[in-house]
Amino acid sequence: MQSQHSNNYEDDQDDYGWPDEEDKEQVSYHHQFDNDEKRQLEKVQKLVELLGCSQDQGIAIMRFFKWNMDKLQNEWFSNERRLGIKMGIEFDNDLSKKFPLTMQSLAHNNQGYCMICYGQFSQKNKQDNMSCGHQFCQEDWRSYLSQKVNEGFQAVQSKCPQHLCNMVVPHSYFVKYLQKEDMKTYMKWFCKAYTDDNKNVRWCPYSGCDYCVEYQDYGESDVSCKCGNSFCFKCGSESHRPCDCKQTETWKNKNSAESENITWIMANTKQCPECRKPIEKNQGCNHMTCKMCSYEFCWLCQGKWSEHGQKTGGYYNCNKYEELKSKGDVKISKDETSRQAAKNELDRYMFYFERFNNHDKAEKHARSLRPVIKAKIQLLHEIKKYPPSELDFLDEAINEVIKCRQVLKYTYVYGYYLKNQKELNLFQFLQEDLEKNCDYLHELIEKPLDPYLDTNIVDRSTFYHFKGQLINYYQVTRKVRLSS
Amino acid sequence: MQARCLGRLKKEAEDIRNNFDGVLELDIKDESQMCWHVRFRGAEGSVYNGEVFTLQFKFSEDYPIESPEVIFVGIPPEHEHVYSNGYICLSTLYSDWTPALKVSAVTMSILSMLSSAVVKQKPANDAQAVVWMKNKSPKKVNWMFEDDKC
Repeated sequence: MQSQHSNNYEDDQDDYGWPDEEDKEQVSYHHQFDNDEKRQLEKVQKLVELLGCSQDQGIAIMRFFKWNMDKLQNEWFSNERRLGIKMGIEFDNDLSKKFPLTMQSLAHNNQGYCMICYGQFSQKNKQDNMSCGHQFCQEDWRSYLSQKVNEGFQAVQSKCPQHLCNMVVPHSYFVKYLQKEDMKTYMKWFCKAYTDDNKNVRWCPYSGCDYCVEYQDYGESDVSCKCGNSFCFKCGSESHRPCDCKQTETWKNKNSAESENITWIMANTKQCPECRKPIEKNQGCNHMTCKMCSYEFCWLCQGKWSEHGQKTGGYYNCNKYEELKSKGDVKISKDETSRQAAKNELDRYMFYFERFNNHDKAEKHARSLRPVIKAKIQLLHEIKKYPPSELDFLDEAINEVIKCRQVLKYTYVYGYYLKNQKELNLFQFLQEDLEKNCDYLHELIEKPLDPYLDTNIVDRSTFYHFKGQLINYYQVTRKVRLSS
Repeated sequence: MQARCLGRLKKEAEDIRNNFDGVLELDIKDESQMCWHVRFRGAEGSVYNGEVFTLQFKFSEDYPIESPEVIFVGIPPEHEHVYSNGYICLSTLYSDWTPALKVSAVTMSILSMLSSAVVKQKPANDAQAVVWMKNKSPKKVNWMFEDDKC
């Protein structure tokens, strides 16, 4: 879904002349990748004011608590020093006692020398040190941080270059020493760390979308991204209302896993009575010859074929089965019952899957229609001079169709797992309503808009009629979608 | 060629010759000084008492920002963390490398790793591991550092 990014979605934030209605949909805080830095630093700033620490320390503390202010306030004040060492903002003096050789070598043997290049510090290259006291030349800092940044996102957790030192390299050092490309890479990791650590921020799962969504708890787990797609914040996959995350996952597994094949095998095959290989019978007579072991048997009763004849009512008409069944042969009827049950279950599954799949395809189709509609809007504006605000309804409508298809898709999953007959009836009624309206809206929006582009036609009433109709259906559909 | 790397190696060589005389024997193999051999003797009282081992250090231009490639050459010690191809499983050489470490410090920590061994024992998966480490730099092997003692 690359295309939406180029549009000015964010600029069109005024409503499109649509009546305001109580919106159950999540109005979440969306923020762009680039804004992460600002957002992060704003939060850090609050902490800086609260604790009176530096920004570097604030970043380390926030990261340590995964941006969870409650946890921070509970734990920080009681354990400031111990935690400070743990998060690498306070030097662990025990280290120099434990490892006197590595830790103190600098102070004693190498005073005035950089521990990386072994060059002597001069006025020119001297470096202000972190509270651990380990000093390095500026050029060495740059190389060190550059290497860390290019190794991967863990760079934000880089430690002081001194062996075993517990101090974390402060954000400001990266900012100070890194140049151009390295700095860009670092900022990428810096923002990524925020999204990855913070439980209230998620990447949009749609391919090609680089936005994140920050969740604010309104009880709804559906969030819509700036790219126009919506997804479930809880599980991070596409919106799956009315199903819950667990149901959705079960359904997905069901679709992909081999389990359905097993059901199919159970419904359509029998095992060869001799070698136990599953055999499929598509059509034809009951005389089966196993390809694996050449055993001949009767499909119906699974008895030896040679035993069939007059006494079983003719070679090709086995009543042995009926006979056994009527006598209540436990084994055969049990096998048959489970086979039948599997077949019914498979039919049921196929019914729901087919419809699920149908809406899934329709949704994809609607998505591919989105750029087409965009182009049409542009043309209508350029050729017929409709103001853009009067054309936004087309965009809104196609988005509504996509959302409806998404919901409808999952209503079939919901229906599949819904066992209560009474609820099912009501549910199916609502489903039907939405389906009907969505289909109609989809059909309307798919109609060619070319007639409205004809410059010879001055009368705009047909277009406004079309618009009225579309808006009407849009509203109905939206209402139905949100109420179901 | 990085001036930092050459300058540092020069000083490190001095350091070994001046401060580790009789303990470490340095043999600069390559003329461009990028390959060193460091010989040392198994510590007294350890299971390697008296045995002589040689470590090979290969430095890149980005040394010491980038870690050197360190392996045993000749006959490697029989140790749980040393494979028979000379590769050493020690986190300091890979993920825990820091530019403030140096050849003498690395050698001394390998010597101390050997000294703390109670029995001579090859790694459990030695034969198999040597096969799949073939033609692979030890720095590219995914080491699992399970313990720091043995």
